[in-house]
Amino acid sequence: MKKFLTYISLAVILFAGFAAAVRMAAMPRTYEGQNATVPVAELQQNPDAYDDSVADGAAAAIVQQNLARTHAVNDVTSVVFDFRGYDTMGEAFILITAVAGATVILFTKKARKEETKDEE
Amino acid sequence: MKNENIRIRHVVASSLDIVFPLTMVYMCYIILHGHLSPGGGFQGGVLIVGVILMLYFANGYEATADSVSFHLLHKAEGVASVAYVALAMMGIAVGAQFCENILYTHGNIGDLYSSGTIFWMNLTVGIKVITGIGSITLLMLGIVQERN
Repeated sequence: MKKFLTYISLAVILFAGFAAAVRMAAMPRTYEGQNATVPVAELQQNPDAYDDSVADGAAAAIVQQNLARTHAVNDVTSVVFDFRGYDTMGEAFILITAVAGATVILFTKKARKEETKDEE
Repeated sequence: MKNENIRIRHVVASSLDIVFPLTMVYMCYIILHGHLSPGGGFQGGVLIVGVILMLYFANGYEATADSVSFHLLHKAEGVASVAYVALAMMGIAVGAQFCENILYTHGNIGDLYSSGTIFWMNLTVGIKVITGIGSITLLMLGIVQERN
């Protein structure tokens, strides 16, 4: 019975994911890239000539209003710590988990070694 | 052979006196200038591994473990992560979104203290990475020491 319920729930999750994928594939694109008038090679030669007035979607908010909304000169830091602060919080908690796991493993190794030393 | 080892150890220890403060200043620079230049808390904090390894090579494990307290590092990591969440919740307290920047009007654009919560979050993440990676490195050095 338990196995049967597990399979049923897995099938439901699979179908929901499939339906979501189909619906997302049918949605319009958020960024077409057709508005980008300057080729990348030219942009690398002369970065100051970049015309950011035609950015659309979320890129427009980050590129055009970054200084007005955050006062941070570095765009990447303002994305990481302001616009996507959730992401950085997750990374920080992953680091905490990794440190806790490594501490547990290494401390048990240490304790086991000391035990064997005492027996000898 | 033994004299040779002692001489090499003196060379390493005296060059540490020159390189160690420079590395610490470089680390603090990368963390504090995260909102002005490429870098930030994660990138600057990882440099602590170099600092601890330099201490270990020059002075051995005992001196390193005496100068860098493992338990203090472990506690500071928790404090820094709580501080990050508290800074992110400040936006909710004044009626904005989670992680919303509410202090950004302090300081001029391009100054060291500007960009409000981005600066403080950068600092807390830097402290978190320094303490977390540093404590792991100390533990691994302890295992290496026991094996020898």
